[in-house]
Amino acid sequence: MTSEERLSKVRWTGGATYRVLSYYFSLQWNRTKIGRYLHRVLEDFSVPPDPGERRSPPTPGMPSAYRLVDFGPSTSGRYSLLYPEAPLITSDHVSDILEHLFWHVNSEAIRRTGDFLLVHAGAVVTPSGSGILLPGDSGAGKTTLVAGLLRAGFGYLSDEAGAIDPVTGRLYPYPKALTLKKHPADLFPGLPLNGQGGLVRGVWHVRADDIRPGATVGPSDVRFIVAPRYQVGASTELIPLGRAEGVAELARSTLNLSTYRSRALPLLARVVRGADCYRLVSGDVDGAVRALAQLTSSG
Amino acid sequence: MVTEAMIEDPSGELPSEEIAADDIGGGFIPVPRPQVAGVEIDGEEVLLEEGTRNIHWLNQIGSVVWASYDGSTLDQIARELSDIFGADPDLVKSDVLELTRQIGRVGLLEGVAAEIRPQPTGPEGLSPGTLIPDFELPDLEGRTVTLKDFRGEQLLLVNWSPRCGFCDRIVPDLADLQSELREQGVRLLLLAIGSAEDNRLQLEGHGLGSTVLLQDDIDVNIFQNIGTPAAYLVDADGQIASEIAVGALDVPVLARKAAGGDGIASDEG
Repeated sequence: MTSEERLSKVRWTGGATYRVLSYYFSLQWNRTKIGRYLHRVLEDFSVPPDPGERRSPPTPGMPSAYRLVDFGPSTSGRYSLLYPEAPLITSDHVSDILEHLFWHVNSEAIRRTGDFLLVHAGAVVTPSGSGILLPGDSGAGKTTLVAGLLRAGFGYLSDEAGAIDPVTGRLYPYPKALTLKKHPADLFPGLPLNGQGGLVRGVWHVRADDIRPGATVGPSDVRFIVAPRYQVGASTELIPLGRAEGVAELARSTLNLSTYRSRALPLLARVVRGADCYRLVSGDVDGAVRALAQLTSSG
Repeated sequence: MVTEAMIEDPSGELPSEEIAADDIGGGFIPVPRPQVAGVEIDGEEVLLEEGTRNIHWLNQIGSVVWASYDGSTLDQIARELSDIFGADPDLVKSDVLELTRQIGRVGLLEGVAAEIRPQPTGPEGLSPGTLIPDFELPDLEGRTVTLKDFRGEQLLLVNWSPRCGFCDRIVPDLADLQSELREQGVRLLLLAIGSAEDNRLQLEGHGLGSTVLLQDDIDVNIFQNIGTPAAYLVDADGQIASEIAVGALDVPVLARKAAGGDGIASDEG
Protein backbone atom coordinates (compact mmCIF):
# COMPACT_ATOMS: atom_id res chain seq x y z
CA MET A 1 0.00 0.00 0.00
CA THR A 2 1.38 3.44 -0.83
CA SER A 3 1.44 6.08 1.85
CA GLU A 4 -1.36 7.97 0.04
CA GLU A 5 -3.53 4.85 0.16
CA ARG A 6 -2.69 4.29 3.81
CA LEU A 7 -3.50 7.91 4.55
CA SER A 8 -6.81 7.77 2.69
CA LYS A 9 -7.97 5.05 5.08
CA VAL A 10 -7.22 7.12 8.18
CA ARG A 11 -10.27 8.23 10.12
CA TRP A 12 -9.57 11.49 11.93
CA THR A 13 -11.06 11.43 15.42
CA GLY A 14 -10.32 14.94 16.54
CA GLY A 15 -8.61 18.24 15.96
CA ALA A 16 -8.19 21.79 17.22
CA THR A 17 -6.86 25.18 16.19
CA TYR A 18 -4.24 27.14 18.11
CA ARG A 19 -2.44 30.45 18.03
CA VAL A 20 1.00 30.59 19.63
CA LEU A 21 2.23 34.21 19.46
CA SER A 22 1.85 34.99 15.72
CA TYR A 23 1.77 31.33 14.67
CA TYR A 24 -1.69 30.07 13.73
CA PHE A 25 -2.01 26.34 13.15
CA SER A 26 -4.39 23.42 13.27
CA LEU A 27 -3.81 19.89 14.49
CA GLN A 28 -5.66 16.73 13.53
CA TRP A 29 -5.22 13.29 15.03
CA ASN A 30 -6.64 9.80 14.71
CA ARG A 31 -5.96 8.55 18.28
CA THR A 32 -8.00 10.10 21.05
CA LYS A 33 -5.40 9.36 23.73
CA ILE A 34 -2.70 11.22 21.80
CA GLY A 35 -5.10 14.02 20.93
CA ARG A 36 -6.07 14.45 24.54
CA TYR A 37 -2.41 14.71 25.57
CA LEU A 38 -1.65 17.22 22.81
CA HIS A 39 -4.66 19.36 23.60
CA ARG A 40 -3.81 19.34 27.28
CA VAL A 41 -0.32 20.70 26.55
CA LEU A 42 -1.55 23.27 24.01
CA GLU A 43 -4.92 24.14 25.57
CA ASP A 44 -3.87 27.62 26.66
CA PHE A 45 -3.37 28.55 22.98
CA SER A 46 -6.64 27.10 21.75
CA VAL A 47 -8.70 29.40 19.48
CA PRO A 48 -12.02 28.73 17.76
CA PRO A 49 -11.53 27.79 14.10
CA ASP A 50 -12.80 30.24 11.51
CA PRO A 51 -15.94 28.59 10.06
CA GLY A 52 -15.40 30.42 6.76
CA GLU A 53 -11.94 28.93 6.22
CA ARG A 54 -11.52 26.85 3.08
CA ARG A 55 -8.64 24.69 2.03
CA SER A 56 -9.48 24.85 -1.65
CA PRO A 57 -9.21 27.58 -2.74
CA PRO A 58 -7.34 28.44 0.47
CA THR A 59 -8.58 31.35 2.57
CA PRO A 60 -5.80 33.90 3.07
CA GLY A 61 -4.28 33.60 6.53
CA MET A 62 -5.61 30.09 7.09
CA PRO A 63 -3.73 28.04 9.64
CA SER A 64 -0.73 25.82 8.94
CA ALA A 65 -1.99 22.26 9.27
CA TYR A 66 -0.34 19.42 11.16
CA ARG A 67 -1.71 15.89 11.13
CA LEU A 68 -0.53 13.29 13.60
CA VAL A 69 -1.30 9.80 12.43
CA ASP A 70 -0.98 6.38 14.05
CA PHE A 71 -1.03 3.69 11.33
CA GLY A 72 -1.49 0.90 13.86
CA PRO A 73 0.65 -1.48 15.90
CA SER A 74 1.81 -3.82 13.13
CA THR A 75 3.16 -1.03 10.88
CA SER A 76 6.82 -0.12 10.66
CA GLY A 77 7.09 3.65 10.98
CA ARG A 78 3.87 3.47 12.97
CA TYR A 79 3.56 7.18 13.80
CA SER A 80 3.91 10.07 11.38
CA LEU A 81 3.65 13.84 11.69
CA LEU A 82 2.43 15.40 8.42
CA TYR A 83 2.81 19.11 7.61
CA PRO A 84 0.47 19.39 5.76
CA GLU A 85 0.93 16.46 3.34
CA ALA A 86 4.60 15.48 3.60
CA PRO A 87 5.90 13.75 6.73
CA LEU A 88 8.05 15.91 9.00
CA ILE A 89 9.04 12.85 10.99
CA THR A 90 8.09 9.17 11.06
CA SER A 91 8.90 6.88 13.95
CA ASP A 92 7.89 3.77 15.85
CA HIS A 93 7.78 5.88 19.02
CA VAL A 94 5.06 8.44 19.64
CA SER A 95 7.50 10.22 21.94
CA ASP A 96 9.69 11.21 18.96
CA ILE A 97 6.69 12.59 17.13
CA LEU A 98 5.41 14.71 19.99
CA GLU A 99 8.87 16.00 20.84
CA HIS A 100 9.32 17.05 17.21
CA LEU A 101 5.89 18.66 17.06
CA PHE A 102 6.48 20.77 20.18
CA TRP A 103 9.92 21.76 18.91
CA HIS A 104 8.47 22.66 15.50
CA VAL A 105 5.64 24.74 16.95
CA ASN A 106 8.02 26.63 19.25
CA SER A 107 10.54 27.29 16.43
CA GLU A 108 7.82 28.42 14.01
CA ALA A 109 6.25 30.64 16.66
CA ILE A 110 9.60 32.33 17.25
CA ARG A 111 10.43 32.53 13.54
CA ARG A 112 7.08 34.00 12.52
CA THR A 113 6.68 36.46 15.36
CA GLY A 114 8.16 39.68 14.06
CA ASP A 115 5.92 42.07 15.98
CA PHE A 116 7.02 41.21 19.53
CA LEU A 117 10.68 41.33 20.44
CA LEU A 118 11.33 37.88 21.88
CA VAL A 119 13.92 37.38 24.59
CA HIS A 120 15.04 33.85 25.47
CA ALA A 121 13.89 34.13 29.06
CA GLY A 122 11.53 32.98 31.74
CA ALA A 123 8.89 35.61 32.47
CA VAL A 124 6.84 35.92 35.66
CA VAL A 125 4.88 38.58 37.53
CA THR A 126 5.14 39.26 41.27
CA PRO A 127 1.97 39.00 43.40
CA SER A 128 1.88 42.82 43.37
CA GLY A 129 2.01 42.95 39.56
CA SER A 130 5.69 43.69 38.71
CA GLY A 131 7.08 41.83 35.70
CA ILE A 132 10.35 39.89 36.02
CA LEU A 133 12.38 38.81 33.00
CA LEU A 134 14.79 35.92 33.60
CA PRO A 135 17.05 35.83 30.52
CA GLY A 136 19.30 32.84 30.01
CA ASP A 137 20.43 30.12 27.62
CA SER A 138 19.08 26.60 27.69
CA GLY A 139 20.38 24.93 30.83
CA ALA A 140 20.51 28.15 32.90
CA GLY A 141 17.65 26.80 35.02
CA LYS A 142 14.87 29.06 33.74
CA THR A 143 12.04 26.52 33.75
CA THR A 144 12.79 25.10 37.19
CA LEU A 145 13.04 28.58 38.66
CA VAL A 146 9.81 29.69 36.96
CA ALA A 147 8.01 26.59 38.30
CA GLY A 148 9.28 27.36 41.81
CA LEU A 149 8.13 30.98 41.52
CA LEU A 150 4.65 29.91 40.40
CA ARG A 151 4.33 27.71 43.46
CA ALA A 152 5.35 30.69 45.59
CA GLY A 153 2.47 32.76 44.19
CA PHE A 154 4.05 34.53 41.20
CA GLY A 155 2.05 34.84 37.96
CA TYR A 156 3.06 32.98 34.81
CA LEU A 157 3.98 34.52 31.46
CA SER A 158 6.46 32.00 29.98
CA ASP A 159 9.28 29.56 30.65
CA GLU A 160 10.75 30.07 27.16
CA ALA A 161 10.38 33.60 25.80
CA GLY A 162 9.62 37.05 27.12
CA ALA A 163 7.48 38.79 24.47
CA ILE A 164 8.01 42.56 24.54
CA ASP A 165 5.46 44.73 22.74
CA PRO A 166 7.30 47.48 20.83
CA VAL A 167 4.42 49.94 21.22
CA THR A 168 3.93 49.80 24.98
CA GLY A 169 7.23 48.19 26.06
CA ARG A 170 5.17 45.75 28.15
CA LEU A 171 5.82 42.05 28.64
CA TYR A 172 3.16 39.78 27.10
CA PRO A 173 2.35 36.17 27.98
CA TYR A 174 3.63 33.21 25.98
CA PRO A 175 2.13 30.74 28.46
CA LYS A 176 3.32 27.43 27.00
CA ALA A 177 3.21 24.34 29.19
CA LEU A 178 6.41 24.26 31.24
CA THR A 179 8.93 21.77 29.86
CA LEU A 180 10.47 20.13 32.91
CA LYS A 181 13.39 17.75 32.41
CA LYS A 182 13.10 16.27 35.89
CA HIS A 183 10.05 14.50 37.24
CA PRO A 184 7.87 17.29 38.67
CA ALA A 185 7.18 15.21 41.77
CA ASP A 186 10.94 15.18 42.53
CA LEU A 187 11.10 18.95 42.23
CA PHE A 188 7.82 19.77 43.90
CA PRO A 189 6.53 17.01 46.16
CA GLY A 190 2.77 17.11 46.39
CA LEU A 191 2.19 18.63 42.96
CA PRO A 192 -0.95 17.08 41.46
CA LEU A 193 0.11 15.60 38.13
CA ASN A 194 -3.10 15.03 36.19
CA GLY A 195 -1.37 12.61 33.85
CA GLN A 196 1.02 14.95 32.05
CA GLY A 197 3.92 12.52 32.01
CA GLY A 198 4.24 9.44 29.94
CA LEU A 199 4.09 10.28 26.26
CA VAL A 200 7.39 12.12 25.79
CA ARG A 201 10.50 10.42 27.13
CA GLY A 202 12.40 12.34 29.79
CA VAL A 203 10.23 15.46 29.54
CA TRP A 204 7.20 16.49 31.54
CA HIS A 205 4.83 19.08 30.14
CA VAL A 206 3.15 20.81 33.02
CA ARG A 207 0.61 23.55 32.55
CA ALA A 208 1.04 26.58 34.79
CA ASP A 209 -2.50 26.18 36.10
CA ASP A 210 -1.64 22.66 37.28
CA ILE A 211 1.16 24.09 39.40
CA ARG A 212 -1.17 26.73 40.80
CA PRO A 213 -4.71 27.34 39.56
CA GLY A 214 -5.05 30.80 38.05
CA ALA A 215 -1.27 31.17 37.67
CA THR A 216 -1.33 32.53 34.11
CA VAL A 217 -1.63 36.33 34.07
CA GLY A 218 -1.88 39.19 31.58
CA PRO A 219 0.67 41.72 30.25
CA SER A 220 2.81 43.57 32.74
CA ASP A 221 5.52 46.23 32.98
CA VAL A 222 9.06 44.92 33.50
CA ARG A 223 10.42 45.97 36.90
CA PHE A 224 13.21 43.43 37.33
CA ILE A 225 15.67 41.73 35.01
CA VAL A 226 17.39 38.81 36.69
CA ALA A 227 19.75 36.57 34.71
CA PRO A 228 19.72 33.20 36.48
CA ARG A 229 22.61 30.79 36.42
CA TYR A 230 22.21 27.35 37.97
CA GLN A 231 25.47 26.11 39.48
CA VAL A 232 25.63 22.80 41.31
CA GLY A 233 26.35 23.39 45.00
CA ALA A 234 26.49 27.19 44.74
CA SER A 235 24.99 29.27 47.52
CA THR A 236 22.36 31.73 46.34
CA GLU A 237 23.66 35.16 45.48
CA LEU A 238 22.05 38.17 43.79
CA ILE A 239 24.62 40.41 42.12
CA PRO A 240 23.45 43.86 40.96
CA LEU A 241 24.17 44.70 37.30
CA GLY A 242 24.35 48.11 35.66
CA ARG A 243 21.50 48.91 33.30
CA ALA A 244 23.82 48.95 30.27
CA GLU A 245 24.95 45.45 31.14
CA GLY A 246 21.27 44.54 31.54
CA VAL A 247 20.57 45.80 28.01
CA ALA A 248 23.55 43.84 26.67
CA GLU A 249 22.33 40.71 28.49
CA LEU A 250 18.85 41.02 26.96
CA ALA A 251 20.24 41.79 23.49
CA ARG A 252 22.42 38.66 23.62
CA SER A 253 19.34 36.63 24.58
CA THR A 254 17.07 38.13 21.90
CA LEU A 255 15.70 35.29 19.79
CA ASN A 256 14.59 37.39 16.82
CA LEU A 257 17.56 39.78 16.68
CA SER A 258 17.90 39.06 12.96
CA THR A 259 14.40 40.54 12.48
CA TYR A 260 14.72 43.41 14.93
CA ARG A 261 18.39 44.25 14.22
CA SER A 262 19.43 47.59 15.72
CA ARG A 263 15.78 48.51 16.47
CA ALA A 264 16.16 46.09 19.38
CA LEU A 265 18.51 48.42 21.27
CA PRO A 266 16.21 51.42 21.87
CA LEU A 267 13.33 49.11 22.81
CA LEU A 268 15.45 47.12 25.25
CA ALA A 269 16.90 50.34 26.70
CA ARG A 270 13.36 51.62 27.24
CA VAL A 271 12.42 48.40 29.06
CA VAL A 272 15.59 48.40 31.18
CA ARG A 273 15.22 52.08 32.19
CA GLY A 274 12.20 51.08 34.25
CA ALA A 275 13.87 48.03 35.79
CA ASP A 276 16.56 46.90 38.24
CA CYS A 277 19.06 44.36 36.89
CA TYR A 278 20.73 41.45 38.68
CA ARG A 279 22.55 38.21 38.10
CA LEU A 280 21.29 35.32 40.25
CA VAL A 281 23.70 32.47 40.95
CA SER A 282 22.11 29.58 42.77
CA GLY A 283 22.44 25.87 43.42
CA ASP A 284 18.91 25.24 44.66
CA VAL A 285 15.54 26.35 43.48
CA ASP A 286 14.11 27.08 46.94
CA GLY A 287 16.97 29.45 47.77
CA ALA A 288 16.58 31.20 44.42
CA VAL A 289 12.83 31.60 44.90
CA ARG A 290 13.33 33.02 48.42
CA ALA A 291 15.93 35.50 47.15
CA LEU A 292 13.63 36.70 44.37
CA ALA A 293 10.60 36.93 46.64
CA GLN A 294 12.59 39.03 49.09
CA LEU A 295 14.07 41.26 46.39
CA THR A 296 10.77 41.97 44.69
CA SER A 297 8.67 42.48 47.81
CA SER A 298 10.96 45.17 49.20
CA GLY A 299 10.98 47.15 45.94
CA MET B 1 28.89 63.03 12.01
CA VAL B 2 32.07 61.15 12.50
CA THR B 3 32.44 60.21 8.84
CA GLU B 4 31.95 63.76 7.57
CA ALA B 5 34.59 65.03 9.97
CA MET B 6 36.90 62.32 8.65
CA ILE B 7 36.45 63.41 5.07
CA GLU B 8 36.95 67.10 5.81
CA ASP B 9 40.06 66.52 7.90
CA PRO B 10 42.98 66.93 5.46
CA SER B 11 45.31 64.91 7.67
CA GLY B 12 42.85 62.07 8.11
CA GLU B 13 44.01 59.17 6.03
CA LEU B 14 41.97 56.03 6.28
CA PRO B 15 44.20 53.01 6.49
CA SER B 16 43.75 50.97 3.32
CA GLU B 17 44.38 47.69 5.09
CA GLU B 18 43.36 46.59 8.55
CA ILE B 19 45.86 47.03 11.35
CA ALA B 20 46.14 45.02 14.56
CA ALA B 21 44.52 46.60 17.62
CA ASP B 22 47.87 46.51 19.43
CA ASP B 23 49.36 48.78 16.75
CA ILE B 24 46.92 51.60 17.51
CA GLY B 25 48.95 54.65 18.55
CA GLY B 26 48.41 58.33 19.34
CA GLY B 27 48.20 59.31 15.66
CA PHE B 28 45.35 56.89 14.96
CA ILE B 29 41.97 58.32 13.97
CA PRO B 30 39.26 56.00 15.29
CA VAL B 31 36.12 55.63 13.18
CA PRO B 32 33.28 53.38 14.33
CA ARG B 33 32.20 50.84 11.74
CA PRO B 34 29.07 52.16 10.01
CA GLN B 35 26.99 49.09 10.90
CA VAL B 36 27.52 49.64 14.64
CA ALA B 37 24.42 50.96 16.41
CA GLY B 38 24.45 52.16 19.98
CA VAL B 39 22.20 53.20 22.81
CA GLU B 40 23.18 55.05 25.97
CA ILE B 41 21.80 54.19 29.38
CA ASP B 42 22.98 55.58 32.74
CA GLY B 43 25.99 57.12 31.00
CA GLU B 44 27.07 53.75 29.58
CA GLU B 45 26.92 52.77 25.94
CA VAL B 46 25.61 49.44 24.59
CA LEU B 47 26.80 48.68 21.06
CA LEU B 48 25.47 46.21 18.52
CA GLU B 49 26.99 45.39 15.15
CA GLU B 50 24.01 45.06 12.75
CA GLY B 51 23.36 41.56 11.49
CA THR B 52 25.51 39.94 14.17
CA ARG B 53 25.40 39.05 17.84
CA ASN B 54 28.44 41.25 18.37
CA ILE B 55 27.14 43.11 21.45
CA HIS B 56 29.23 45.09 23.92
CA TRP B 57 28.69 47.50 26.72
CA LEU B 58 31.19 50.20 27.62
CA ASN B 59 31.62 51.53 31.15
CA GLN B 60 31.34 55.30 31.73
CA ILE B 61 34.96 56.06 30.82
CA GLY B 62 34.75 53.82 27.77
CA SER B 63 31.53 55.56 26.75
CA VAL B 64 33.13 59.02 27.05
CA VAL B 65 36.00 57.84 24.84
CA TRP B 66 33.57 56.28 22.32
CA ALA B 67 31.54 59.50 22.19
CA SER B 68 34.69 61.53 21.51
CA TYR B 69 35.54 59.75 18.24
CA ASP B 70 34.93 62.83 16.09
CA GLY B 71 37.63 62.56 13.44
CA SER B 72 40.46 63.70 15.69
CA THR B 73 43.55 61.63 16.43
CA LEU B 74 43.74 59.81 19.77
CA ASP B 75 46.42 62.32 20.88
CA GLN B 76 44.00 65.19 20.22
CA ILE B 77 41.14 63.35 21.94
CA ALA B 78 43.30 62.62 24.99
CA ARG B 79 44.39 66.28 25.26
CA GLU B 80 40.80 67.46 25.02
CA LEU B 81 39.58 64.98 27.65
CA SER B 82 42.38 65.82 30.06
CA ASP B 83 41.47 69.53 29.70
CA ILE B 84 37.79 68.81 30.35
CA PHE B 85 38.36 66.55 33.35
CA GLY B 86 41.50 68.30 34.63
CA ALA B 87 43.30 64.96 34.72
CA ASP B 88 46.95 64.02 34.17
CA PRO B 89 47.44 64.08 30.34
CA ASP B 90 49.73 61.01 30.31
CA LEU B 91 47.25 58.98 32.32
CA VAL B 92 44.35 60.03 30.09
CA LYS B 93 46.35 59.19 26.97
CA SER B 94 47.19 55.70 28.17
CA ASP B 95 43.53 55.11 29.11
CA VAL B 96 42.31 56.38 25.72
CA LEU B 97 44.83 54.18 23.89
CA GLU B 98 44.01 51.07 25.89
CA LEU B 99 40.24 51.50 25.60
CA THR B 100 40.47 52.16 21.87
CA ARG B 101 42.57 49.02 21.40
CA GLN B 102 39.94 47.03 23.30
CA ILE B 103 37.16 48.52 21.18
CA GLY B 104 39.19 47.69 18.05
CA ARG B 105 39.83 44.12 19.18
CA VAL B 106 36.11 43.33 19.29
CA GLY B 107 35.60 44.57 15.73
CA LEU B 108 33.87 47.90 16.27
CA LEU B 109 36.40 50.18 14.49
CA GLU B 110 37.01 50.72 10.78
CA GLY B 111 40.45 49.56 9.67
CA VAL B 112 41.17 47.54 12.81
CA ALA B 113 41.23 43.76 12.54
CA ALA B 114 38.78 42.06 14.90
CA GLU B 115 40.42 39.44 17.05
CA ILE B 116 37.11 37.79 17.84
CA ARG B 117 34.87 37.11 14.87
CA PRO B 118 31.31 38.20 15.60
CA GLN B 119 28.70 35.46 15.62
CA PRO B 120 26.02 36.05 13.04
CA THR B 121 22.37 36.10 14.04
CA GLY B 122 19.79 33.66 12.79
CA PRO B 123 20.49 30.18 11.54
CA GLU B 124 23.79 31.06 9.86
CA GLY B 125 25.92 29.23 12.45
CA LEU B 126 29.54 30.06 13.19
CA SER B 127 31.49 31.89 10.50
CA PRO B 128 34.09 30.12 8.38
CA GLY B 129 37.50 30.66 9.94
CA THR B 130 36.18 30.31 13.50
CA LEU B 131 38.40 28.06 15.58
CA ILE B 132 36.15 25.47 17.17
CA PRO B 133 36.61 25.46 20.93
CA ASP B 134 38.09 22.19 22.12
CA PHE B 135 35.68 19.75 23.76
CA GLU B 136 35.77 16.40 25.48
CA LEU B 137 33.02 13.90 24.74
CA PRO B 138 32.51 10.13 25.12
CA ASP B 139 32.42 7.97 21.99
CA LEU B 140 30.11 4.96 21.56
CA GLU B 141 32.54 2.77 23.49
CA GLY B 142 32.62 5.23 26.38
CA ARG B 143 36.17 6.44 25.67
CA THR B 144 36.76 10.14 26.16
CA VAL B 145 37.76 11.88 22.96
CA THR B 146 38.82 15.49 22.51
CA LEU B 147 38.57 17.58 19.37
CA LYS B 148 42.35 17.96 19.45
CA ASP B 149 42.62 14.21 18.80
CA PHE B 150 41.45 14.96 15.25
CA ARG B 151 43.88 17.80 14.50
CA GLY B 152 45.52 17.18 11.16
CA GLU B 153 42.38 15.63 9.73
CA GLN B 154 39.60 17.35 7.83
CA LEU B 155 36.22 16.73 9.40
CA LEU B 156 32.65 16.73 8.25
CA LEU B 157 31.13 17.60 11.62
CA VAL B 158 27.42 16.77 11.78
CA ASN B 159 24.90 17.65 14.49
CA TRP B 160 22.95 14.42 14.85
CA SER B 161 20.06 12.67 16.53
CA PRO B 162 19.17 9.02 15.93
CA ARG B 163 15.55 9.96 16.68
CA CYS B 164 15.36 12.70 14.06
CA GLY B 165 13.49 11.73 10.90
CA PHE B 166 15.61 14.02 8.74
CA CYS B 167 18.84 12.43 10.04
CA ASP B 168 17.41 9.01 9.35
CA ARG B 169 16.60 10.05 5.81
CA ILE B 170 20.18 11.08 5.00
CA VAL B 171 21.95 8.06 6.54
CA PRO B 172 21.97 6.23 3.14
CA ASP B 173 23.39 9.34 1.41
CA LEU B 174 26.20 9.57 3.94
CA ALA B 175 26.83 5.82 3.76
CA ASP B 176 27.15 6.07 -0.04
CA LEU B 177 29.72 8.83 0.30
CA GLN B 178 31.86 7.37 3.06
CA SER B 179 34.52 5.74 0.86
CA GLU B 180 34.92 8.92 -1.22
CA LEU B 181 35.14 11.01 1.93
CA ARG B 182 37.86 8.68 3.21
CA GLU B 183 39.76 9.02 -0.09
CA GLN B 184 39.65 12.79 0.27
CA GLY B 185 40.95 12.48 3.83
CA VAL B 186 37.71 13.70 5.37
CA ARG B 187 36.50 12.05 8.54
CA LEU B 188 32.75 11.96 9.16
CA LEU B 189 32.21 12.93 12.80
CA LEU B 190 28.70 12.88 14.26
CA LEU B 191 27.99 14.93 17.38
CA ALA B 192 24.95 13.01 18.50
CA ILE B 193 22.35 13.17 21.19
CA GLY B 194 20.56 10.02 22.35
CA SER B 195 21.95 6.79 23.71
CA ALA B 196 24.99 4.92 22.40
CA GLU B 197 22.69 2.00 21.63
CA ASP B 198 20.22 4.04 19.52
CA ASN B 199 23.08 5.59 17.57
CA ARG B 200 24.83 2.27 16.99
CA LEU B 201 21.63 0.59 15.78
CA GLN B 202 20.83 3.37 13.35
CA LEU B 203 24.27 3.48 11.76
CA GLU B 204 24.82 -0.29 11.65
CA GLY B 205 21.48 -0.68 9.91
CA HIS B 206 22.89 1.27 6.95
CA GLY B 207 26.54 0.22 7.18
CA LEU B 208 27.60 3.75 8.03
CA GLY B 209 30.93 3.61 9.86
CA SER B 210 31.41 7.12 11.17
CA THR B 211 32.88 8.33 14.43
CA VAL B 212 30.11 9.21 16.87
CA LEU B 213 30.55 11.40 19.94
CA LEU B 214 27.72 11.67 22.44
CA GLN B 215 26.84 15.16 23.57
CA ASP B 216 23.85 14.28 25.69
CA ASP B 217 24.74 16.06 28.89
CA ILE B 218 27.38 18.37 27.55
CA ASP B 219 26.31 21.16 25.26
CA VAL B 220 29.36 21.96 23.17
CA ASN B 221 27.29 24.70 21.52
CA ILE B 222 28.97 24.54 18.15
CA PHE B 223 25.65 24.27 16.37
CA GLN B 224 23.98 26.97 18.47
CA ASN B 225 20.61 25.28 18.88
CA ILE B 226 20.19 25.04 15.10
CA GLY B 227 18.83 21.50 15.28
CA THR B 228 19.56 18.28 13.44
CA PRO B 229 20.92 17.51 10.96
CA ALA B 230 23.35 20.37 10.45
CA ALA B 231 26.99 20.25 9.38
CA TYR B 232 30.24 22.15 8.97
CA LEU B 233 33.44 21.25 7.23
CA VAL B 234 36.38 21.65 9.58
CA ASP B 235 39.94 21.99 8.32
CA ALA B 236 43.03 20.22 9.66
CA ASP B 237 43.70 23.11 12.07
CA GLY B 238 40.27 22.81 13.68
CA GLN B 239 38.81 25.87 11.97
CA ILE B 240 35.39 25.95 10.37
CA ALA B 241 35.89 25.76 6.60
CA SER B 242 32.34 26.08 5.24
CA GLU B 243 29.08 27.85 5.85
CA ILE B 244 26.75 25.77 7.97
CA ALA B 245 24.54 23.32 6.07
CA VAL B 246 21.13 22.74 7.64
CA GLY B 247 18.58 20.04 6.89
CA ALA B 248 18.15 16.82 4.95
CA LEU B 249 18.81 18.56 1.61
CA ASP B 250 21.83 20.72 2.38
CA VAL B 251 23.83 18.36 4.59
CA PRO B 252 24.23 15.72 1.82
CA VAL B 253 25.14 18.54 -0.60
CA LEU B 254 27.95 19.61 1.71
CA ALA B 255 29.01 15.97 2.18
CA ARG B 256 29.16 15.50 -1.61
CA LYS B 257 31.26 18.62 -1.93
CA ALA B 258 33.64 17.32 0.74
CA ALA B 259 33.81 13.97 -1.05
CA GLY B 260 35.04 15.72 -4.17
CA GLY B 261 31.70 15.92 -5.99
CA ASP B 262 30.24 19.14 -7.29
CA GLY B 263 27.77 19.50 -4.48
CA ILE B 264 24.82 19.19 -6.81
CA ALA B 265 22.40 16.36 -6.14
CA SER B 266 22.33 13.77 -8.92
CA ASP B 267 19.09 12.64 -10.49
CA GLU B 268 19.69 8.99 -9.74
CA GLY B 269 18.52 9.03 -6.16
